Amino acid sequence: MRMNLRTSVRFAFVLATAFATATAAEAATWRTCNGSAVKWRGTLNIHRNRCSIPDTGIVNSAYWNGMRQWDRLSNVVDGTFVNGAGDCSISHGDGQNEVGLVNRANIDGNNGLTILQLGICFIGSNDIDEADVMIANDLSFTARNGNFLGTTGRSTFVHEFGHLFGFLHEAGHTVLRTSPPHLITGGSEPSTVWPADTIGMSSLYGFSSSRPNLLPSALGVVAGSVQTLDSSSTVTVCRGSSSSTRVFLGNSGNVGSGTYNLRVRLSTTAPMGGYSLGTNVVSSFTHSIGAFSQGTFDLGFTVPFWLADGVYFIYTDMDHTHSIVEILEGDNTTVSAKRIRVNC
Amino acid sequence: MRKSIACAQLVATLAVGGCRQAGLGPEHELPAPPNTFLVTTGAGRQLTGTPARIDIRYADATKAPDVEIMFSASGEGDQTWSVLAAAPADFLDTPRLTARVVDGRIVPGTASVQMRVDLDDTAAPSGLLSLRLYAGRLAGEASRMGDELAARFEGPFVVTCAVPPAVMPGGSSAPSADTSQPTLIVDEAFESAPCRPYATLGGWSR
Repeated sequence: MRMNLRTSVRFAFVLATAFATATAAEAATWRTCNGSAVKWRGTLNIHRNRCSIPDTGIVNSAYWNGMRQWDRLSNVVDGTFVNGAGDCSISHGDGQNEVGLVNRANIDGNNGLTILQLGICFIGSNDIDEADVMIANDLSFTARNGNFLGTTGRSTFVHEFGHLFGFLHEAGHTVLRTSPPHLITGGSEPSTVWPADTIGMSSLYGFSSSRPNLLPSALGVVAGSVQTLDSSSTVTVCRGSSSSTRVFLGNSGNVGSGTYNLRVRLSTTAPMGGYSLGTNVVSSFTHSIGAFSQGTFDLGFTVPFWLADGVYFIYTDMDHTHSIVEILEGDNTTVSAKRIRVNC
Repeated sequence: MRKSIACAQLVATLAVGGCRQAGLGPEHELPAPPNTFLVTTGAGRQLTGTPARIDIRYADATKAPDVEIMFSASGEGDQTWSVLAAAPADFLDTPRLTARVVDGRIVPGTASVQMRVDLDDTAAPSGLLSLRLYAGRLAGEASRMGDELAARFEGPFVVTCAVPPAVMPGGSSAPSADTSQPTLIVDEAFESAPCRPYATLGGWSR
């Protein structure tokens, strides 16, 4: 679908911020003016461009997920609107915060582009006055498996909405990394925000409730590079012998989790179906994670003698006993890139 | 309150990195990203991946670590070529590895070479994997197997080091197992005594 971009701002200049990765800064960053954050302080209404984001389907759900991943934390968005189906342009400088898909060529070949309109930093604080989010329309918006290493349109929505709320690019385990691969969790909606992102929402806008939010990932940042934490291969393991899975465990909420239950299980059922199963538990743990905290662990297990021959996916479930009331449920499971073959 | 548009500053924030299709021939030639791992299979396919990884695991901080080497690369389609090798602990000193390729249990001195297509992995039944580390890079070849799996490879590598939580400075919180299975914590800052010697092994990254 061809989208027109209409810029009605005169005397404006565009500054492309391509931040190089540096030290592992595990905290969000934002612009400041006279020492205070540049953020939304007035009414924030968001307009969906219906011409490119239909009323239903995976692009629509990716749009809502992108917004809600951030907004459910702080309730910054005041209203959501949908523009007329015949309005196929995204205008800048009209006071309307529009979100839509565009041809990649219109955003310099990038996956996404957010244009913020800021006031001039002069006296006192400064606000974000307008934000227009554009996402490349050739991306895939299908939810991917938790060990998918690549680019997803769903995560691009989450990334660009982070810019809409005022955040800058980050290194580390964050959705605001400068470039893909995207870090995802498991479950039916794997594109998410991470502790290093949500601590920014807490700082800028405050949380509207006090809860933990547990989420695992089969992907991690190793020396600046996003990788699958386990190898993308099938490993033969005999019954009675040991193996392990490496997993990122995080708490994106604003309070500590307290003690929760954690388990590793094996299943011949691939994601998405395998996420909701509960059989073949091979190890169980208790753990607690502080607010906005994270770590990467090797969880050991022994292949039980009763396990049938087969090729198994390795699932990690956080709080499978549902003893923790979280900001969001449904993001507590992921699947390793590694599979194990049991035949001996 | 809205501020004057005429005096506005526009700030464009880019999410860079698009999908680029690689092809053969000068018209498709692209500059190699500096941190890309490059694989060329025996069939002539060029694949790219993230830096290779050397995982050092101290299940017992007083004993020699387990050392695992893994790297993978993808090309057009949903195909991923991968290597997983277990190295003797002295690999970290040599640092060269010659491993026998097997389609079965991997023990130190053996390796697996596989191709993943969608949900199916095909492993080389036999062969030889040889690699070496130099100046922050890992290079070598997988040979004596079919052309689809045989490959030469070269690129940067990174190192991880995992230790028992008790070894970490400050006693980091780690999952506590109901069984005797160990839980290791990845020492991302290479702060613990066992991991400290490897902080600079990864070349470009540290």
